[in-house]
Amino acid sequence: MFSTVKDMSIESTLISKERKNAKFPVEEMTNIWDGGKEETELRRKIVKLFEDDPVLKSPPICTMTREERFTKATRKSAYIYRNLIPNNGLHPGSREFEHFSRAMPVENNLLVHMIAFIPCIKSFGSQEQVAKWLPLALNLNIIGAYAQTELGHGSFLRGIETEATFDKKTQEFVINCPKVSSMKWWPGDMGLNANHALVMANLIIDGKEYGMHAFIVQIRDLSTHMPLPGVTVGDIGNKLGFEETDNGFLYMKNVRIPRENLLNQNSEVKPDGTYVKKASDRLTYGSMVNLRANFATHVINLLAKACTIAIRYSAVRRQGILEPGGAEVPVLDYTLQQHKLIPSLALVYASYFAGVAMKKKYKIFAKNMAKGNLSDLAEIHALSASFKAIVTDQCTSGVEVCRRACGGHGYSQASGLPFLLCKITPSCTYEGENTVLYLQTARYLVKCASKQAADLPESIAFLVQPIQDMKGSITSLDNLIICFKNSAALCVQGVSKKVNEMSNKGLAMHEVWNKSSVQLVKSAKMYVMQYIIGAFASFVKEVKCSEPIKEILQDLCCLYGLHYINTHSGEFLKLGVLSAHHCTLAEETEIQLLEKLRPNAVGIVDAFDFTDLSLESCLGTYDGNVYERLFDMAKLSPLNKEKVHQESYRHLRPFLLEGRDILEGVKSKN
Amino acid sequence: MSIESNLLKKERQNVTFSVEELTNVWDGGKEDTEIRRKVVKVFGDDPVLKSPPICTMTREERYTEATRKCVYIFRNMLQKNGIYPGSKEFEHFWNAMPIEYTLLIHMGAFIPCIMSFGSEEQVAKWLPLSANLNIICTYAQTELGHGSFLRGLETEATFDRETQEFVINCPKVSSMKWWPGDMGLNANHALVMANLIIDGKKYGMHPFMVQIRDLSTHMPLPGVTVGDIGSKMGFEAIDNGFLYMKNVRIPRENLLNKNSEVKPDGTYVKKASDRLMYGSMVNLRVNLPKSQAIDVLAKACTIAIRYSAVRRQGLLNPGGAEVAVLDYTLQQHKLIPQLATVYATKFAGEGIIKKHQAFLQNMAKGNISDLAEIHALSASFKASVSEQCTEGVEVCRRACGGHGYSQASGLPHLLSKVTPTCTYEGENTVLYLQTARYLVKCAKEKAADLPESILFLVQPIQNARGNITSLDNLALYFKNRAALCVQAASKKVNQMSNKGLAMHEAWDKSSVQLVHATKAYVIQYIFDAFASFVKEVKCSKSVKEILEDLCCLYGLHYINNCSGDFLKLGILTAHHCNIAEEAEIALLEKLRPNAVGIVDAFDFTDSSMESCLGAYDGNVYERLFDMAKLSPLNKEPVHQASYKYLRPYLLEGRDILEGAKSKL
Repeated sequence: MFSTVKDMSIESTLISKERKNAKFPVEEMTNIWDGGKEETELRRKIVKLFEDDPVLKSPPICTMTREERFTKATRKSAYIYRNLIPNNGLHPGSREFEHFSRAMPVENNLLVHMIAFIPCIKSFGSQEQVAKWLPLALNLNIIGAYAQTELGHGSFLRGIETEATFDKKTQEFVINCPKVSSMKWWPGDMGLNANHALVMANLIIDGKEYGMHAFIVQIRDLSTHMPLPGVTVGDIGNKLGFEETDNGFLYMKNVRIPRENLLNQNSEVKPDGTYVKKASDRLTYGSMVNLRANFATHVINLLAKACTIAIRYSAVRRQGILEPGGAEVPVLDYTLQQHKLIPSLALVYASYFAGVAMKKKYKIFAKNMAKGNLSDLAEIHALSASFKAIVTDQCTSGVEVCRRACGGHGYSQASGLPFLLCKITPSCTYEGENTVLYLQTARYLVKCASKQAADLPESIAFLVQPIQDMKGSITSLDNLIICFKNSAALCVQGVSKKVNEMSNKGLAMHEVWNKSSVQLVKSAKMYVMQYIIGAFASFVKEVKCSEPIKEILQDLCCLYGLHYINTHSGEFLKLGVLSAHHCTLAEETEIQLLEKLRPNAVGIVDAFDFTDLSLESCLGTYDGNVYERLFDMAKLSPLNKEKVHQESYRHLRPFLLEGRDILEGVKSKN
Repeated sequence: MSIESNLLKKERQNVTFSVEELTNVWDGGKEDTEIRRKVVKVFGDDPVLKSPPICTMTREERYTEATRKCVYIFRNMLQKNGIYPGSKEFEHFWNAMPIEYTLLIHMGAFIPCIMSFGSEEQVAKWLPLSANLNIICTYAQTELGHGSFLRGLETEATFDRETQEFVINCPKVSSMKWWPGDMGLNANHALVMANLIIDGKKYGMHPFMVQIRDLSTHMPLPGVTVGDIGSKMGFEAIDNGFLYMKNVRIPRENLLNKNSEVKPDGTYVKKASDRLMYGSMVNLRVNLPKSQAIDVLAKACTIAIRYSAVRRQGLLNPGGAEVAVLDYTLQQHKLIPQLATVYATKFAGEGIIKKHQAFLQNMAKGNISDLAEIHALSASFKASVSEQCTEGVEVCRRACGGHGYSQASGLPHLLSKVTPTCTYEGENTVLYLQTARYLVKCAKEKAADLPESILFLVQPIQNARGNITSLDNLALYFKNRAALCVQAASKKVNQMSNKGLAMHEAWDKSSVQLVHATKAYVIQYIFDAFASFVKEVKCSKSVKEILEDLCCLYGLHYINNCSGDFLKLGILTAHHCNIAEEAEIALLEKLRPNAVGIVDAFDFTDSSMESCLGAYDGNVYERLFDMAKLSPLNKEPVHQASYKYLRPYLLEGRDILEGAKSKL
């Protein structure tokens, strides 16, 4: 119907023009993002390897049912782990492997098996246990779920109800979920694919409870994959997203496992029922820090994709005229559109490079830990908890802003944006619910506020040190950092004082804490904001790059700070850190920065270097041909298989035929 | 009885007001509550309207079920039960509709449009046909490449004098009609908005009746390419469509010609002002917030608050029992302000509906002097309410932790239903700017020339006296803030244009501030309208107190989130802000024991929410488990299609493990 031989579409021409106008070398920015030219090359190599593989091709996600998505995701994952990776020498630990997540298909399964079950075997298992289970798991000879969360309990670990009772006679543990609410619920891969689960359960010996321990429980038959006796297992049903994954329920009734299946690196049960504690659980906290930093990178990537889609689309979508009598302009020319999208770009950069800094911090900590020095544990734990929480909060909001900025088409699955939103929003809940995490950080901060500077880690000493003065322009990076540091210090001091006053008045500490919790969360946010802007600013100062790139990074850093100030000005004004005059300046400067960054916006998202395949978005492809792509995708809608959807039409048919008779009667009368 | 059921029962015992009375206040009177319940029961009891839970169906099943039910309702059920348009029962009928239904655009957009655009004769022809579902017609305005900017629409209707026909064409891919509901599969007609062209001259957008499918076979007509646009984030039951027309010919009579006409010789005659059309747009916008946003948030609150009353997590008191999450201040701080939003926007919306009715009466007399004001108010109200409710639903959803991510909670469905309200029927940013244009204009006028509701913009700022958290003072803060914000934005536009910037640039560079000022304006309206309602409503003392508390909470929560404005403009001091924060926490604590009662008063039936977390009895865990068993992926104990990819490796594993065992 439409000629496919087209001159370049208007949209394509518009986006080429954007690229010509970019005032910086995009490739250099990509290298900075990847951590060096060589890394960019490695990443591209492995992305290409995956994308060129015919086995990994599948229909667009938005045209498949949930069952098809689940099956396709399992097929691809099994192929990747058993064939593609070993055949191409991409072993864990190889440099290519670090770029692996960028190359994975948009939907894949066995994620919990790979990133939770396997690491947990390593952390909780004895040498002997690791030797037994690890190769099996790596080869997909078993599929394991990490079963901690229950239907009735998530964040509060001590509330978990599943029991593992030691039976001395048979040398077995008997696993039971005493109530409906105690069944395991949510773990990925657990519903259908897993035949084992690492079950967190209360250990009971001779009627005495010993708290949570990790047990390996076989849940399906090794030959037939049927659930074992006593095991009720299945998929929990549809979700907002992650439709490809079989998040599962697992109800266990008198399931017996051998004594050796208690993972016993940290504690052991002897044949006679003696309980032996071997190591402190604190050590496992350390690895969570790294997990959270990596997790943040994953979440930031989702926002980077949303920005890529929304900014490219905004450069080709025309709506209305700015200048009376002028031509229609791309929506990206409107200040309001820039004000929605460009701060999201700044957010991507700031959180990404702050995350890189946190990983470095963790490496130093890990070295110290290896020497037995755990002194920084509390600080790094507090930092990573609030960092995970704020990055997931902000990036989720950012994706929704991008989605809505694309108007109606952002509501279409074909835009790829609903998919990103549904992928990112649960990050606020899993791996530590954000509110719970902020409160953990706040607890540490309040503790710090009552100490002397000398007793605190260097990075946190500012909390109790005198407030610094800002000199010169309030919108300079140095002053922005001071502004956030001062606000964080005053915020933490303010809430600490309140907590003390209330408890001095005789209120019980838990009530004081509860009543101050809104303010406590605010102070944790301000603390982690000062970390992020400080870390990003240091990166920008130190990075070796060309002048235009440096300028863009500086502008993005400044925009990140100013946008936060302008959307939270009350907090800075209340604390007396900024004046009304400062706020007005901050607002004006933000608008100027948007205008300044506007011509480079498409270049900046191009630098993320996402392939079209990894975006699966009709609005975000590199060539800008949004309308043809939307139309092509629509034709694939399962509802369009036949020209008349008979199933539905049959309900309308009798009345429409009445209508025909009336209308044709009218016509014949005319 | 489960622990959870018991907990919810206890909550209800502790409620300090009459839930039934609050329900009556919500419905607008005891009688209305009864009628609503009657209609809801008719729908709820009808076996034909039963279908499997939404979260267990595929998109195709949902679409087909929704069409089936809708046809039954409009062709059988309403008549059978004497629910005719104009009856009091009919007013409650949208409350009773199944969660998913199609033909909404046919009933809710096309039929009103035919009445506003069609001549008497045209209405007489098309209205009965569409009311009886003898035709299904969509309203086709939005195109693939253009939505908000009407003048940018590209579809053309060229008059052919010889044949006395209009020839409809979509010149480019981007000009095809895109999005209209019911258009993809169900509709056989479309009311197409197209550029009228006569003898090469363009006359702008006009409405045309275009038949798009065969009346006997339902096949697309020659020249028509039509279909479903594919999956969306929500509204999966609806066949939003694309419609590409190539030389589709329609008779001259199919131009809906109440306002303008094309004579057989091609003469174009303008009969009435287009301004009248605005009146009907306002109509849609006035009614949209309640059903598509406020009710949706009310459901989300019901689910989240009931669940938070039965979900236990951790200890408050060391050594004490586990407490319900609703006992945590932070959980209250998330949820109870959403309740306040529901109440504030609902009663403020009723204020607008009344204003609009008065306007329609005046319009009938030819007086449209209030048009600009009501348009500005309803535009910004729609924008603000859709945003607040969307945010609120997401807050409720996330406050339910992991289970809020399950479709079984009903919350993802509500979120995907409410979020497009920010986009359709006028994109919010565009609407805010329209209102801003009106406000900036008003700011230049003398008090005597302005409608009463807008006077405060140009009058001197009043000072607050006494308790800073009284409703009167809160109303004053919002008024002062709105006035100062609008004045500042106007001043900025003027300064920039005085400095020589072209007006369109001055406007664009000030747009962030203009939108901000508009939001301040509409919030002062919402607060003021709700506060007036609370003052005037006749009810018991205990219900009044709850309404007052909710009103105060609405104001304080807003102030605490946007304290920057109030501080910057010198309306509040840092000290005031601290008081406001403490007062909010105190109100949360005070409202906490009544929270379940307040959501009970919305009186949603379990089947209208389809939520395992929000059911009246609180049996959340049994319900989640029962629903999970219905997951289509659980049809067989082994999902063979997926298992086959793992099987070879798992059998290897069996051999290794059993080998190891036999060695032992």
